[in-house]
Amino acid sequence: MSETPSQLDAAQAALAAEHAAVYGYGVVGGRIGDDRGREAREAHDAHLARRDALHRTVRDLGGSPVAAAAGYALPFEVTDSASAVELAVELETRLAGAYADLVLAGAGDVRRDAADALRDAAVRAARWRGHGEPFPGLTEYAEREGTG
Amino acid sequence: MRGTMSPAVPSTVSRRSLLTGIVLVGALTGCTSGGDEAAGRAAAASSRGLRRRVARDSTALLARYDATVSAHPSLAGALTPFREVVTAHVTALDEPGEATTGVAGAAPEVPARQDRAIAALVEAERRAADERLAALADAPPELARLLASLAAAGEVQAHLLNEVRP
Repeated sequence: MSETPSQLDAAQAALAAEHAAVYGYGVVGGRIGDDRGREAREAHDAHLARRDALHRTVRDLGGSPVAAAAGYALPFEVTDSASAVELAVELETRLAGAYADLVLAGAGDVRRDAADALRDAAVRAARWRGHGEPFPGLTEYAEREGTG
Repeated sequence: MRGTMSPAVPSTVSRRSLLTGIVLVGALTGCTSGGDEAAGRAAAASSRGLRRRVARDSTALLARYDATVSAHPSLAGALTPFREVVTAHVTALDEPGEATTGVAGAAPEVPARQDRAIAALVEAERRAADERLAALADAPPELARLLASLAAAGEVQAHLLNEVRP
């Protein structure tokens, strides 16, 4: 927030977050349980598509797309369906933040696509969680809203 | 969990001053990109106008929730979390010295059937979200970021409202 990242940096950050989401949904899918398995697979596919789209965006902006990491440290242990849902919420929340930053840094179609991706991440986060939040992607508000 | 990934905002910074900062950033961006003082002032004025319009739309949405609860008191509980989200938007968009709380025109008409009343809320949320997305192209960066978040929140509201069963 203190300085505006370049459009390319913000696109790379969103791409890195999509790589992490693709990995993370693999973990979610393994633990989520049958009742929400389809939802997890659909989210996984949606993130593959967003990842590929961001690849093209980064290239169009003259960059070399960041690669996925070999592995990712999970923010907490995922042992059952409840923690799998929690990880899905975490992944979408991080993506929403990355896309909000891309809206800030982006122009034209890049900005508009980022807004669409922010919307999709917010809808998925809310579906996993069962409720919405007033300012998806804007962490400065999330801090202030607390849990109430 | 959330605390580990969110940048800390000093608790002494009020939401209002945070938002005033956002408006200022928007105005400054307009100035520097134009490189022309008059163009910068025009950009800042149009940014303020856009923000006021967005605030009015959120206030109108809030009025629709209130009218819906008045017409269908049994929906009050189910609609409370939705109303809270819109109230947070109104508060965030409220600016000192700006009268955005008064809604021009009559109270919105609420359908007599509960399912239709909810459908009308879904439509109102979607319409506001679409307008906010449409306004993105002309908004300065910080306001664009806020608009995109408000539009995303509105789409979430529309999705979740569809699951409210009278």
